[in-house]
Amino acid sequence: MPDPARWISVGELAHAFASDNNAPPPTDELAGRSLTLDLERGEAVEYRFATSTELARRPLSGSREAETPDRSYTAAKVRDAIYFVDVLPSPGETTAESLVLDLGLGIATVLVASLPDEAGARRPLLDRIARGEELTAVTATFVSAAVDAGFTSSTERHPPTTELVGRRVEYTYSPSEQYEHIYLNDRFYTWHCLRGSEKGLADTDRCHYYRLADDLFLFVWREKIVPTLGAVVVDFRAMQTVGKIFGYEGGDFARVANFRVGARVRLLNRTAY
Amino acid sequence: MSKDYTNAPPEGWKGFDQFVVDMTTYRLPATTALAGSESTFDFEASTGFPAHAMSLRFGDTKVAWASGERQGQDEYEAIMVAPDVYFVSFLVSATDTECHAVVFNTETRRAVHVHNWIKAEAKAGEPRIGQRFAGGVLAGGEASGLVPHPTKELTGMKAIYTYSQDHDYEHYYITSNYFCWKGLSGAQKGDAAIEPAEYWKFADGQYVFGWTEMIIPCSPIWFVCFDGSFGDNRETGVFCNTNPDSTMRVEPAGAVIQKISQTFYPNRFEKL
Repeated sequence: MPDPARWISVGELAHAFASDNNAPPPTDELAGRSLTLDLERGEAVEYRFATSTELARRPLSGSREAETPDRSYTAAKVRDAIYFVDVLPSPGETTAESLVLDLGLGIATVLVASLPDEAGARRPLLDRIARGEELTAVTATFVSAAVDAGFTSSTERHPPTTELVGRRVEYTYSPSEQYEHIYLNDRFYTWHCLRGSEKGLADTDRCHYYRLADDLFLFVWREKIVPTLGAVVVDFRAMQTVGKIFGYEGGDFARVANFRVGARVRLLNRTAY
Repeated sequence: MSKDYTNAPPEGWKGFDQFVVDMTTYRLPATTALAGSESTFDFEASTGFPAHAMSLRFGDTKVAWASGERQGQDEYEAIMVAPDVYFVSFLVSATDTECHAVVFNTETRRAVHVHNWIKAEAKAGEPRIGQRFAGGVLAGGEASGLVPHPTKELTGMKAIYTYSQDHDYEHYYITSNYFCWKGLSGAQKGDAAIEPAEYWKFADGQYVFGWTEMIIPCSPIWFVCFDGSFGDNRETGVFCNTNPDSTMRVEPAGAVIQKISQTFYPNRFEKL
């Protein structure tokens, strides 16, 4: 049976993914812009992108403070007017926010990812099952929003999709790091490291799929062995992904790691049901 | 395919009692053909499994077995799973914590022994049941043909296993150490998991396969036959599960197999 000692931390993964990776270069197109996201749950948040890496995030219902940039971010242009924005967690934070902005349609999806504390991460799977909880302790919430407009019942949303189910896809993150994903159903996928720091490791984990445009998807996964969240935009036209991986730097749960990733995409096969 | 595999059930992991029903519709029947016979095996050392001999003296319902200093007399089941190939399994009643399965071909005299046991202590992050494989021969004659061995041959295959009309699973053979299942219909519809697994090639198109579940304390042993013996590709075997009082329960199961796809990797990747 496989050696469980080979599981690595997200920090080690970040190190392995660092060099010569296939993440597309960040864009500076949002710098100088200010966008207000009117969330479906009735809250509005202004994002002022001061530079290509700094932004100020301000809930409009809250205080008027924090207008100076207080957050780092990275933005990737996915297609015309569609951006993946990753707002980096500040030191000590175990939640992180990512945005998919479609400035053409004037809509966004806000993903808030949250890591468990050490006690939560160490709880046995059988305990979690007995309490009717999910296997993974990593949580993700998805909130739809209107951009620079009020969110109404007719505002479009990025819908959940099962379009990827049945596909088996190879992702090349760098010359040394290569994975395959098998999209099993609307809740689970299997990942398998073909080459690189996790070679030979595989797991079946909870996941979410949203359709952003034709052949363009937001894919988010939440792992149960090493608390990890991945969020990538997968473009089956450009055959390219961009996104991030979020987890604890090491086994001591002291610091989080949140790093950009991107891969070249190859469809291995597809099962039709 | 006309079955509806799209509606996922509510969240919540299913236990052994919930899924082990309806798993025998397509199972091959048991046979009493071995009653009155005796077989002795020599098994070679394998990972975590020392070299050992085993003798099985079959009655109508019980087998008198001996291996090393251990022996017992227990209820057994024998199934002819391919021409000349038997799958014999028995729960050791003296302890109620271990199950043995022996697959053997009476013509080639090749054999594989799989031993499942409930570990003394439950450890987080490890399967509750231990499983080990050993290959060997039926003593008393010249063995011929392929020597059973761990194999990577199934890696990349995806297949649907149908246990009854409304009880289907997908199997994905991810590496020679891992396998992934997904419930397509039945109690575990919509659930999926990956499990540590071991695959042995028994003969061309014939495999002995087992896994140890990470989430529930369950570990099956299978003979998987892709050679179309008896009209279908088939899986035949037993599920071993741990009862709340840490005794073992063994349930029969079997499926017909429909191959779906085979993923091939470029030569620059070593098959795992």
